[in-house]
Amino acid sequence: MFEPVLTRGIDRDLTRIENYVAQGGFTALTKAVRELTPQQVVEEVTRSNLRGRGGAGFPAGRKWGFLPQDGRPRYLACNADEGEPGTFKDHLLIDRNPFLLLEGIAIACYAIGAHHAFIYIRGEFLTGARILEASIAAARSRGYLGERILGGDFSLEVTVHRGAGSYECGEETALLESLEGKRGNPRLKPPFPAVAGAYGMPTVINNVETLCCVPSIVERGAAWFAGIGPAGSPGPKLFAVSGLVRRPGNYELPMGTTLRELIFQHAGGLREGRRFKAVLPGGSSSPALVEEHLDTPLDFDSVARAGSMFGSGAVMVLDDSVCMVRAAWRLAEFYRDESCGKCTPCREGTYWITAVLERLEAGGGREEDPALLEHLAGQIGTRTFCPLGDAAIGFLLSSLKYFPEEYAAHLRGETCRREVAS
Amino acid sequence: MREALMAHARDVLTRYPDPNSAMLPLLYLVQEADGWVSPAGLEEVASFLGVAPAVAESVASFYTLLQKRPVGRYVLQVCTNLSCSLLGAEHLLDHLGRKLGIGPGETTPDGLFTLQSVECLAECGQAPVLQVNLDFHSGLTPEKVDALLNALRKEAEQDV
Amino acid sequence: MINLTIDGRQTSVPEGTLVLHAARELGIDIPTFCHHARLLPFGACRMCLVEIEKAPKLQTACTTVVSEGMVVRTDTEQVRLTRQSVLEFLLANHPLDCPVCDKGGECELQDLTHRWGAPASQFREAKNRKGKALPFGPFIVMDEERCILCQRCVRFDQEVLGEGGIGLMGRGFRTRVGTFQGRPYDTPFSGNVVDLCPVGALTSRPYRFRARPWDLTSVASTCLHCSVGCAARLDARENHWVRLRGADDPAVNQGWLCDRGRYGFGFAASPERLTAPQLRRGGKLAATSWEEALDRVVQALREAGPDRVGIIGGGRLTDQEAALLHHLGRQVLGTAHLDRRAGRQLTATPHLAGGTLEDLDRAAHIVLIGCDPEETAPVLALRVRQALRRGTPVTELGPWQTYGPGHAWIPPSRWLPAVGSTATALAGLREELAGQDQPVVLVWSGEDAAVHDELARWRQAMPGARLLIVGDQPNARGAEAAGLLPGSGGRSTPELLAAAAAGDLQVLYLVGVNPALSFPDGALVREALEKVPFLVVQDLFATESARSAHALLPVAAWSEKTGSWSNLEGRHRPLAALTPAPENLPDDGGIFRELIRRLGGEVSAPLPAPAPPAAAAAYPLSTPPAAEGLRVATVELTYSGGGTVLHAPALSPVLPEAWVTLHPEEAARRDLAPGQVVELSCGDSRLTLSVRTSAQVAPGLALVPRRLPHSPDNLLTEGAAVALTPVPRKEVLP
Ligand SMILES: Cc1cc2nc3c(=O)[nH]c(=O)nc-3n(C[C@H](O)[C@H](O)[C@H](O)COP(=O)(O)O)c2cc1C
Ligand code: SF4
Ligand code: FES
Repeated sequence: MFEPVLTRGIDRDLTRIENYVAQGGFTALTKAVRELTPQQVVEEVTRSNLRGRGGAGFPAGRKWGFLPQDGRPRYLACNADEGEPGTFKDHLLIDRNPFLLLEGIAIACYAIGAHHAFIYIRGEFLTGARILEASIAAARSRGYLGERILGGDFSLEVTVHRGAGSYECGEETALLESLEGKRGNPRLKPPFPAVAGAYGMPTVINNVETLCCVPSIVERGAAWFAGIGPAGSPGPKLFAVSGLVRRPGNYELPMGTTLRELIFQHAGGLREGRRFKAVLPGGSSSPALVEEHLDTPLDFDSVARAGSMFGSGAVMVLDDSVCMVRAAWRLAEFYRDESCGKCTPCREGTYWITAVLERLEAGGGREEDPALLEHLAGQIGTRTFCPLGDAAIGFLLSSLKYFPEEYAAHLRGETCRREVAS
Repeated sequence: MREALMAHARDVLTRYPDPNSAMLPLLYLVQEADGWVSPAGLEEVASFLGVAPAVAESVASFYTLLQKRPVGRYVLQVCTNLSCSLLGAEHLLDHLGRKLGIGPGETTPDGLFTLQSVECLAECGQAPVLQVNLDFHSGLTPEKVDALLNALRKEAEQDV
Repeated sequence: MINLTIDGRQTSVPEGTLVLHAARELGIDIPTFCHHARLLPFGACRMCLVEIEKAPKLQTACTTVVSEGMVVRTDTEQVRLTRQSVLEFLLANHPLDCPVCDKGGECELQDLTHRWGAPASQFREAKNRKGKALPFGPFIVMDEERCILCQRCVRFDQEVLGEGGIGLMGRGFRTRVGTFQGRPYDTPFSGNVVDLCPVGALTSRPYRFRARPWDLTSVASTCLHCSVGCAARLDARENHWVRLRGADDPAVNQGWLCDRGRYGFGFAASPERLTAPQLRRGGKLAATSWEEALDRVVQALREAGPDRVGIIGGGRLTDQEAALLHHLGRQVLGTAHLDRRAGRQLTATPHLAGGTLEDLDRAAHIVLIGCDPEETAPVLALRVRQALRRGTPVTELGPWQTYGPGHAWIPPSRWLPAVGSTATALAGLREELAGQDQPVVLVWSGEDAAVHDELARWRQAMPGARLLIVGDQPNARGAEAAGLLPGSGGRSTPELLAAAAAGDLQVLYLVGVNPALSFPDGALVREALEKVPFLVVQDLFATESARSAHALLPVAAWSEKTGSWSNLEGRHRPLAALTPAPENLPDDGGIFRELIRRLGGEVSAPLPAPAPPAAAAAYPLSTPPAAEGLRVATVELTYSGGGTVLHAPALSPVLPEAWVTLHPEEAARRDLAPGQVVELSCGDSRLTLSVRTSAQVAPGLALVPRRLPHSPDNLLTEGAAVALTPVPRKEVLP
């Protein structure tokens, strides 16, 4: 039977440090700094096969192992930007389990030898930022952060840095630029952040949920963690389910839970009288999957095999009331507005795609539009400076592939409903 | 920079290895004080950090939460991204517009409300949602929105 | 060396080479937009995407470094389609107004579209509208709709200038390049962004709508506005000079120019230019024939005899002309009274190891002595800025500080005896740095005899030290090499002026100099020019010094003649004629030849080599008595000097007003606010100036710009005490 790890005790007001400590909080940190060497922590996390929960799924332990040992200061940047539409899991962890995150940050910093961590939190999470500030103060007063943590040699400062409204700042190098007080344009790689990241120093960037997995790995061991869910991408996962289900919300389940189980069991299935149409299994950047994919296990490899991407594990459910063209337009507009504007295909391509979809929506479709959209998407995908370009075309291409008749209907002038869903 | 902001600004600098990192926090400070980031505010921040004012403007212009024009006392930011739209966010935005007599991006003549349509606020589990000066209000219906507007109006009256 | 294959051809290139350059070496052209040889790799436009075996996606050739065994393909269908699509994206929102665009015909977007673009556009949507023809400061116009956001301009501003005057504004498809609140782009290097812009987004006001590129004839030449000698390309349309652009000489200017050089060319077509020789008759100058004018000059020179003739000038001539002038003076006239100097600069030739501009890139320490290269040698200053950014310590010795707080500044000047002289400070620095074997580069104005002597001591103390002398005359160094300095027994400029004032000189011949404005002792020079019985002035314009001339000889401009000159490094700089001189105008060399011929000399034979330049004798400039209170110090500005700068219409918006800068405490003590108008008086002389304040001026000094025609600083004695009196504002009648 799966026991929640990330949301354990979350109804007991874990923003109070005494409640967090009472349920065993900070034992992992204590164990790490008192009993383990940094190298041992890195090895444990590597063996656990914890893969990044921010979207790309890169193994966290390996990322930590990349930092050059050259005596320069190094930093940890916690990615709390949570900008991916449909994703709201980090929000929950920040607001309701902040000490778990701080404990994860402290252990990660101990492991990589960082003495300053930054939590880059999206600007809209003003409440979350305040909760984190208060939690940092509380943890510091109890010796879990600050100078000589738990009486040992390890010291750590944590700075909460608020973004100011930009999806692109979730991309790791854009995040670093923004942290350094610049525009959120991505940086050229190489050099990779592990070599020259924040302030030119070696830097690890990890998602909130990734870091929240770390304490339990240290406490209960890599083998325990690796035993949850599929071997290739194990562990507990917060699935953020939104859209047209009866019980949208966050569900903590093992990796590898199937779409069907998540949607129809946990999230209560569809609303009265509605039929399943499609699902975005990994946030708005992931291509939609359809009925035939419902038995796909939700883990990095299985979802990729099904032709989509696991991403941040945000599941957006669409029923038969949804107009796919309008949904594609809505998302296209998002990517157009959030494109940082640095590279040509993303800046111009998202403008163009949005204009075509808007015209289609308004009844001005042309015969060649579906082919044109496919061509444009093909010339954006993999050609942009950062992965935002790929994100912008995923849903569009899948809607063209699975629902060509809806585009055809628009071309026949059957203009669609005023809203995305009726 | 204004004396009142100076102490704050100096404190912000201590949190970073490089003073330029204080750019966004300082722009927020100016916005808190003035309600928006005015050209004068940009110049203030730039001179505090020792950069050209165009640098501050370039940075500020990238971020949507930094207001480039004066806004109302209450900034209503309605999420209209997919998850919220699926549950009627566009309808909600129209409803608010009608109630306030303004379109997205506009401010009511009494300076009380600014209406903005924004992207996913990461609260999709309780869609549709909006923020009032970055405070979340979720699971909205037209009735709940009306009640919210009334409460805000009342709050504003009491403050006068 | 790294071995790799590009399009099936094997090559090997040094480690660190970009795929783009490896391909270009094989003659395989990969198209680019954002890439620029003088800027850091960027990778944003995506035009250069190529296939690299084993890489899952296309890679940008402009940022990818070669690796052993790499296999690159630039000739595949996928690459071709990608280029076509990048162009399609760039053109989607482009206004396609090529017929009325200055860049048409030399536009990289046009050229690459022609080569790689699709036959037709599939874009049928409403275009993304942006601003048109927005002013970007005095020289530049911005058409935002044409901008392809390659960011070359912004990157230049960040990476080379380090100023931040322009930046990206907004984001996504609304991104544009802008200045703060649309205010003027305020940098003396603004024009470089026009050279850098691959499209017609940034254009030059003086060139707008003046020509089509295919109508232009151009020459590779050098900018002759200062002693740096930046490589330049000059363009003319129907014999009208319409444009000057930077050319990339890696050792000198790396493609950059300052705005004075770039936009200062209009003087050649100025209606004020002298067109015919003039002779004074009955107290008035009147046009005459060359025949008569030269006869009269020859007659005057003959009558005077070698000892009562003096020649001042030469720093604006080509090396060849300077040699002719030397020949005319020393051999034909037999006089030793030759001096190229007309102002404060004592020498242009280093008397310790001479440096190169590239030495600034390697310097372990840079010392600026009494000069502000930002004003007098702007493109040299770009290397100083780079050095500062690398963390190279820069020490400034002088009355004001250029590089702002945080850098070493030794404010004492020779006018603040309480703190000691510049030479004393320099000696202190010498002792501090002695023993360091890393290269120290000294950049000096060439003024101040005490500094001259102190520098001689650096030669022994620090053989590695290198000296660069920046001065106001572009070819001062070439003129000195040609021997245009007083020979033994010869009189220097101040001595010649004193002799003239004392009635001890018969003919004074000024060649391309305007001592009335540039010579520090204004009273002496005015008296000398008044009193000398025969004053010959050879110049482009009727300068302040020409007012009392007896013979006025107009000449060709530097864009109208061919030859070479020597920059401050002593480096040979080519000069090529772009347009013919106006009818009836010889060049300086032509006049010298004719005078030599008429005086019975020979010019066909090779001219005898001049003696190697002597370490210029220190100028006996008058030193004012020690005094209390505020003292005058003067500063050379980019746009001061009158002459060609004054007569270039494009420069009129940036010509300096007359100001006096005080330390804020000095201003406060006198209850003066910036912008207030004051009268500055010194002895009998007065200037009316507006007050500025700056903490970067040493307290105790009243800093005044030099060589302003409307406010000549040389009416004041440098170092002398001055009084400031506020001028009451004119009452505005209701
Ligand atoms: C456009 C874009 C937006 C992103 N937004 C986020 C985000 O909001 N939060 C996040 O954790 N990762 C985001 N990522 C992924 C990060 O770049 C990075 O992979 C992640 O923070 C690494 O952490 P992890 O290894 O712990 O997952 C984004 C990536 C892209 C390309
Ligand atoms: S103005 Fe020209 S140089 Fe600057 S970004 Fe635009 S296209 Fe590039
Ligand atoms: S789509 Fe509205 S909060 Fe996510």
